[in-house]
Amino acid sequence: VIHSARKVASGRAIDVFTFVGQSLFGYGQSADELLARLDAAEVERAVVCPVKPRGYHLSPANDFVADVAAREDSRFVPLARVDPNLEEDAVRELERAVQTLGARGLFLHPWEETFRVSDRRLDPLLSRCAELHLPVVVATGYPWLSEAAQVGELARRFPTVPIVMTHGGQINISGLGQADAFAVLQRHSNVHIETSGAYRQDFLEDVATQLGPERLLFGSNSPRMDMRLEVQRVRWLTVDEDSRELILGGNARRVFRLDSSARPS
Amino acid sequence: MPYPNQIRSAVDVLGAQRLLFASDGPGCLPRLEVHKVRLAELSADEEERVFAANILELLDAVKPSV
Repeated sequence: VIHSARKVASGRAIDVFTFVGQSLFGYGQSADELLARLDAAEVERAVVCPVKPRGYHLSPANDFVADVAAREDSRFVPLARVDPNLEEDAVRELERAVQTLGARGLFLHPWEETFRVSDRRLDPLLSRCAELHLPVVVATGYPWLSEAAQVGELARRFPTVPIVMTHGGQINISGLGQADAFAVLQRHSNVHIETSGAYRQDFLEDVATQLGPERLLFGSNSPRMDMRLEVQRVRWLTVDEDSRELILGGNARRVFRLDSSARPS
Repeated sequence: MPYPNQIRSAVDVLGAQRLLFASDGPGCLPRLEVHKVRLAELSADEEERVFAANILELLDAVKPSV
């Protein structure tokens, strides 16, 4: 399949929250579909999370995402997904995904894997992330499992690990949880938020102006959300142009160390 | 509700006469909320109902007679 694959969008936008694969939970997209969505939204690259596949095991999903990223290595940045309930096996799978498959960070989905993100059982995993200089993306806002305050507790224990809370650190689109997310960002300088679905434009602008634009990363949650809408949410923020460039891509390059080709060892 | 495809589904299931556009501005950005409805790819008639005709009809129905 031939895409306009090397099209470089204005602003070199990088979407830090996408999925490729067919999820057990019904959503999914192919690599070709994600490429088409990137082109339609004029987004240059995507950080890609594995889905939880019908077979339940995450290793094949890590293999799959690494494989498509290897084919599209200038546009897809693969993350490793592991289940912390598996404890030492989760650490081994993270190491395999990073050192063998080239994953550039860890993705945790406390809702789909069912664990509390503040659980001490995550400590060996996060310690390894600290050693390997890996950022961690957390599907955030799920009650009891990944509320912003729980992500904050993880961030407190691992202050050198960059942590990205998805959808503004909230799941309730009315803005419930917004104050908690803001407080966690205030207290823990290693915490960032990803912008998908965070429809309170003033919340995103407050974070950028009061805490700094380096705390926000553009993401779409594609295919669950619409990349064409999510990118405009950031392009139309009332912030200065330097801040917008950081939020659209500069911060992603820093957090995911995209300008470094060095593979953690 | 950040889902253009859900707007499309609501029109398909409930009918365009049941949806009214609103932005929740100024906390939310009206321009972005308009963009969201446009991404739902409604027909011109459906879009006209959602953006204006429905609310105008509702207001007209409760207009006091003078």
